[in-house]
Amino acid sequence: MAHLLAQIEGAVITGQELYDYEAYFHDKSGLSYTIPEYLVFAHSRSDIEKVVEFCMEKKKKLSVVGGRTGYSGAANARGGVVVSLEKMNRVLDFFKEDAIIHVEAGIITDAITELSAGEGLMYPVKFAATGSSQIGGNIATNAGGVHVLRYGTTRAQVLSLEVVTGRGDVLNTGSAVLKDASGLSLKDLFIGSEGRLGIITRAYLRLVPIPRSLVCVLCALSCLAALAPLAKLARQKASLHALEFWDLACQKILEKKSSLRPLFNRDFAYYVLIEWEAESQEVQSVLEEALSCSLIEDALYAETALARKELWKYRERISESLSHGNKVFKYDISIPPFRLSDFLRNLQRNAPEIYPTLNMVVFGHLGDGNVHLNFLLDEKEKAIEHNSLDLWVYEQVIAAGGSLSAEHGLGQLKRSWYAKFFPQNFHFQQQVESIFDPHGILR
Amino acid sequence: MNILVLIKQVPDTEAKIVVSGGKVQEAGIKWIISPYDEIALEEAIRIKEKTGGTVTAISVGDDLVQQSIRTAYAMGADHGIHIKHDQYQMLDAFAIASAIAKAIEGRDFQVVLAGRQGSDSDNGQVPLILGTLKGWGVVSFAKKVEIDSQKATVHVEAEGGEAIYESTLPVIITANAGLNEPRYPSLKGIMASKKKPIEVINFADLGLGTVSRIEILGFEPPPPRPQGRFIDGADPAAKAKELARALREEIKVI
Ligand SMILES: Cc1cc2nc3c(=O)[nH]c(=O)nc-3n(C[C@H](O)[C@H](O)[C@H](O)COP(=O)(O)OP(=O)(O)OC[C@H]3O[C@@H](n4cnc5c(N)ncnc54)[C@H](O)[C@@H]3O)c2cc1C
Repeated sequence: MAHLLAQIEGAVITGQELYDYEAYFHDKSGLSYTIPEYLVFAHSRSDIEKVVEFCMEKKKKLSVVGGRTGYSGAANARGGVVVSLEKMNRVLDFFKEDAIIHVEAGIITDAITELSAGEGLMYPVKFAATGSSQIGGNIATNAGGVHVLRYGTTRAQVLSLEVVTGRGDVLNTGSAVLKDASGLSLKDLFIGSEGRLGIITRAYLRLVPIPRSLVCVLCALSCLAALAPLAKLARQKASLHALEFWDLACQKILEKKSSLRPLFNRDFAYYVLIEWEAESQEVQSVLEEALSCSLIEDALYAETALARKELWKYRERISESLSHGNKVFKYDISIPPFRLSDFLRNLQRNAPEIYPTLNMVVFGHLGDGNVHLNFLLDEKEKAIEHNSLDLWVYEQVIAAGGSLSAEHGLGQLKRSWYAKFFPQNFHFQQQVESIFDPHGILR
Repeated sequence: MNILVLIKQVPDTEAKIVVSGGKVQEAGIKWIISPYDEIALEEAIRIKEKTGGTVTAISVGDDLVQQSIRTAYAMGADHGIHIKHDQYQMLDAFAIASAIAKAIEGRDFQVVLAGRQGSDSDNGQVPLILGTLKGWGVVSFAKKVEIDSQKATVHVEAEGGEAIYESTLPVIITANAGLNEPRYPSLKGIMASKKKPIEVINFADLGLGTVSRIEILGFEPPPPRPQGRFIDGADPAAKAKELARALREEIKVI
């Protein structure tokens, strides 16, 4: 290696050896990727600067990978160079009293909570993959998860970023301040940028106190019409923490694929998991009201930490158990909360007409209108064209005033759809991308 | 079949325990049924659902333990007995077992189920002492239980295999993890449980006097764990060198 990469502190993998590292070249989307010429495990920001310089000089594509838990193919290698930040996983500073932490971007998301729990603090972005996703990946996708209702998405946690742009500049978007009104917010451009503007190397993040007492309840619903009023009732308690839902099809697959036992002694149309920071007596009155106006048929209480973890397993294992042995088309979409029920009702009505045998499975974050729509395909349906299904789904999303991507990003999957439905927005996005990545190495 | 379940109320496994003035400070702690006892309770309810009869939950403690008895109701227990003692933290296993033995005198239980140990003290003695006081057999660490009108068959994990015990009734059985997965209390169960009365017996009225054999002098928190330390160095070799030096010169273990 007679070039810049030879000066790198971290490891550089090349040649045949690359084939031992295939896991670093793609995320969980199952989309295509091209084996790169080099895989770099960066140890420092200066390594990253060298990689960017190398790619500019040699006109090579550069893909950044985090924990590769993404669902949009955004992290998939496109030949050229792949850089991983997994060795850049240090905590640089921890201001306990102010609940602020300064980390390198390669740190595993849940590790931040593990490190700060002793001080009664946690990092509030949490979902089934945060045990392996990285903060850099979360920031680059503006990850959401199950606590968005209470704490907001990743965007709400980031105070400031250090970035190496696609031109090789080292950019500090600000500092560890909680308020910042100095013109356009540069950090916000990088949040959700899917590695297309630069490489995030460091972040100041805010932490939150660990909730004192959580009550977790699983409600059984007999119809779709009850979802929205139940969500409304649950929200009336200011301390609502999480509000998740899944349908009967999900529940059946969970019981079969995840060896989780049935929750009730009969089936229900929908299951809603609600978590409040409250005492169980307070929650009791809300649930009794829901029961008395037939919004719910019954509910299960998890009052202990152990029982809560058990109940959450149902929600957390959905994604994996759907993919287990099935071909799945996944849609991560966002619908304005006030249109969610209508949207789901229309889907259920229209799907059988257009795709009579299609197995539609719905779950997601009820509280913020983020629906994960899944179509499980068996042999017969393999022939269904992805494109036509995409179009069918997205037209309904647009009609409902929703967003094509709630939290998984555009990636390879949705960029062209975004361009089609939002040409003007897409144009401006491209303009911004060409400022930070004029040579197009990151795209 | 009438079954008695011994229930201990303990701090939730994630609760932060504060000890001061020789006592565990109870403010802010969330109290739950000790996890092994919950398994015992679930087993009792399953036996009742199969063979009929009743399940009675009994607990020694201050008024707070009534919460746990209500949870037991919500899961399916029929009766609850609260042996009230405001200073129960200072009671030993012998005192608690004696109180239970006395309180159930003249009542007809064929099976007593309990957790193998409380998740707070890990003592595991109350069911054993109760067995001794009553002259009943005790089988510990059950992972499978079958009861018919004459006898109990209890499967217990043993070194490299499984031991199967048969016992006449009455019998005391302690539950191990894996015996079952306790059900969640349901909303409807909780609503019904609110109206159910709990039988309260004052510890002092049992006429046991000062029965504890062990005097608890007080509680102290464990010493705080010393802070971890990062070994710094320019490269792995320098870090290894510094680590070796620290282990040899400062901690003196090599
Ligand atoms: C079981 C499961 C459940 C999930 N649930 C949720 C959920 O509830 N909410 C949610 O939002 N997502 C969810 N996801 C999707 C995924 O976990 C998130 O998108 C996550 O934020 C990706 O992080 P990562 O580190 O794995 O990033 P990767 O997948 O490796 O990369 C994602 C994108 O970030 C870029 N990137 C990574 N690191 C950097 C960096 N340092 N600088 C610049 N760009 C970078 C990559 O180039 C890529 O474009 C789930 C995934 C799984 C497998």
